Amino acid sequence: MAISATVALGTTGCGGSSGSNDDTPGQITLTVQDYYTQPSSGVYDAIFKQYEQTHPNIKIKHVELPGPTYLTQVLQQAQSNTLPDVLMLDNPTLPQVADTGVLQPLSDIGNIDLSQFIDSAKQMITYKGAVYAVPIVTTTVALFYNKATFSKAGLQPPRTWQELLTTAKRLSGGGNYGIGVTADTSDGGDAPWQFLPFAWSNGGSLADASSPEMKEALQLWVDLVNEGAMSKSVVNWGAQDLVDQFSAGKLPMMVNGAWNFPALDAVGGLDYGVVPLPVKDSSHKASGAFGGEVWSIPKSTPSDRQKAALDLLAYLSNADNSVNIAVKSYAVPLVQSGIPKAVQQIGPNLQPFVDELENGRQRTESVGAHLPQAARILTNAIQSALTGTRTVDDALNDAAQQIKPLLISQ
Amino acid sequence: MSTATEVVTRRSAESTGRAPRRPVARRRLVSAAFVAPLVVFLLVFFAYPLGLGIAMSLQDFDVAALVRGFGDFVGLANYVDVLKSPVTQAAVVRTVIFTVLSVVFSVGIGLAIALYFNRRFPLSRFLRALILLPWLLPTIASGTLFKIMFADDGLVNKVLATLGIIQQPVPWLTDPTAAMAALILVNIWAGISFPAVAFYTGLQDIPRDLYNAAAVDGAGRWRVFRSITFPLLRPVTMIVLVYGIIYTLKVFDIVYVMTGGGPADGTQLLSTWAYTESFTNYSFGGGAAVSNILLAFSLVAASFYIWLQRRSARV
Repeated sequence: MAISATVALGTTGCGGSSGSNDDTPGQITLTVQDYYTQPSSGVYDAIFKQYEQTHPNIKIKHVELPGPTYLTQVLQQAQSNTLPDVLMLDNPTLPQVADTGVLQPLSDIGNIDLSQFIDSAKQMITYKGAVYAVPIVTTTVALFYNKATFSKAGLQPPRTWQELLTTAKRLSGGGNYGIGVTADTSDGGDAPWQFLPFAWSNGGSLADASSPEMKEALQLWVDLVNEGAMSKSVVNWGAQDLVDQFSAGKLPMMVNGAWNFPALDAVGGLDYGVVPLPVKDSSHKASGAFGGEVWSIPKSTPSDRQKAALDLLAYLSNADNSVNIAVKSYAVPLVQSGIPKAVQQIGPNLQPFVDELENGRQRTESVGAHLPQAARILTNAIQSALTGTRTVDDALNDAAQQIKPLLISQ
Repeated sequence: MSTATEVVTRRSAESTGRAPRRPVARRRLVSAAFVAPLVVFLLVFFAYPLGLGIAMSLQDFDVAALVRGFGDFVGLANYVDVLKSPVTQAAVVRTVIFTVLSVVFSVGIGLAIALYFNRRFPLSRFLRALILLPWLLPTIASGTLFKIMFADDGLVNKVLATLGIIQQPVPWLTDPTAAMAALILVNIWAGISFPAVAFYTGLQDIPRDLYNAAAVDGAGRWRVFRSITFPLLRPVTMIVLVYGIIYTLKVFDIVYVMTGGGPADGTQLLSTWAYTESFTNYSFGGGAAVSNILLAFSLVAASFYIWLQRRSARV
């Protein structure tokens, strides 16, 4: 088995830690905690089993908690000192957990080869200069289009904002809309997850929500609504609502993630393609927000188990396993060498996601642990602009004021 | 709660009256033993969490505090902060409007339905059972269906357009005012069952002779309702109103499912705002303060209920 990450002893040396547990000498049981459900959790179970076979002194106890309350439960575990040995976290929540000081910087435990991952992925695992986690796979959103509708109308998938606007307008009418995005408040605001990539590719960011680049991006969404090419109801739509309408042929374009491939493939007669999110003009490059989880090791894990945990994470994130996980969960592996294999196995529709993620950015980049509050403020601004209760200028100027105290000093 | 306590204390008082010869200390001990389970129950399951909630609302309780297990004491700062926030102020107004309109209409319609079913007619038993449906359905399920029906191109707009009532689709869930109206309509629908059942039972308890006597006296329908039915339904009405107010103040799931408190906080009630403060903003202190403000509203309604009970007990 080729393990591209090397684990070495930490510089501190930890006297007498030859990896012994109280009961059986040399035997280590690692508790690994995540929020996966089937089929994803089965993929990890299989990898854990393989790892146990090649590492007879390691036993892995796989614990799964419900997703919606995961962060709160993790924080409660931190309080009661009951964190697992290996802790999976949704990547934008890493700063919140790291901020409380319960995570061990990985360099304190050993070395992990970060050069194997795509460059942009470092943002997912770094907080205030320290690397706290190992990434495996990631997801983001791109533009899905209905091939049949497009060829019937003689249209090409849009690459620029102007093309997006005219194409969406052409495909609207008779109670149907050309495109759908999500701008609802689920998960404390899905809107930034879909909106920030539009703003980023234009040079905007949460650091200044009132910048012209942010306003232009929001104006694009507002124009789509005003021109009748997008429903105002997107303020109540989640990702699944888009899939339902796209599958039913009611929505010719949607902004969504690759994890929908199996559901869309199962729809008879639906032929769809995926392109990167349109950018303002060809001089800009599409950028995606990192989704997916990262794997951390709490400080409360005893040092011998920390070393075993880091070795397990190196194994989980190696090229073979990350491709395996990516293919089963329709995600992009973060090990550079694994990406072509994943595209080959999942199909060319994965490539637009790869392109965006090579320019990928982290939603927490300027707000750190304050992302939930900042996301809510931005979602409110987007919602009030889309529903016409406020102008783009007003909404984003106000949002910038509210986000300002949440910004982290660089 | 207090009724139960009263009953218990009164009973123990009666029992001490019947056994005057027992030593005082033992009598006290026996009384205490009877009261103890209830007191322990109330302390563990009511007083303790309530105390925790109040304590949390007086601390700077953020994520770091959650991990530490306690926050810095900040006095009433959380209350000042949340009450200064325009979102809370709007949520208070909306909660009051939501509660008043929901209760008035669901109780009114519930009464009308009960009066209607008070007469026997074919299928009346089956239809009466059907009235329970909104009560039996999980609100998460019915809320999801209503969200689909109230969409711009949903069933509600289609029906209204077909009937010629509207020319343009009503932006039910995208305009804050229309969204509040939709939420109130759904909550009225969900709230009709209990008053209808309670009033129906109340109507069954009114002696038939009264109606017969009124008929002999030549009283009309309105007169019968005003002089017999309504006054005799008063105790039921009071209970239904107070319960309705307390339950409606706490409504969360319908709003959470249908609008998530949006667009742009346009439909935040105190209940959803407390949740948002705690679990989106991770300001547990602020969330606890909003919850306690909501609790204060419920307490007013509850004290009114207790006052009514005391009064009727005296009569």
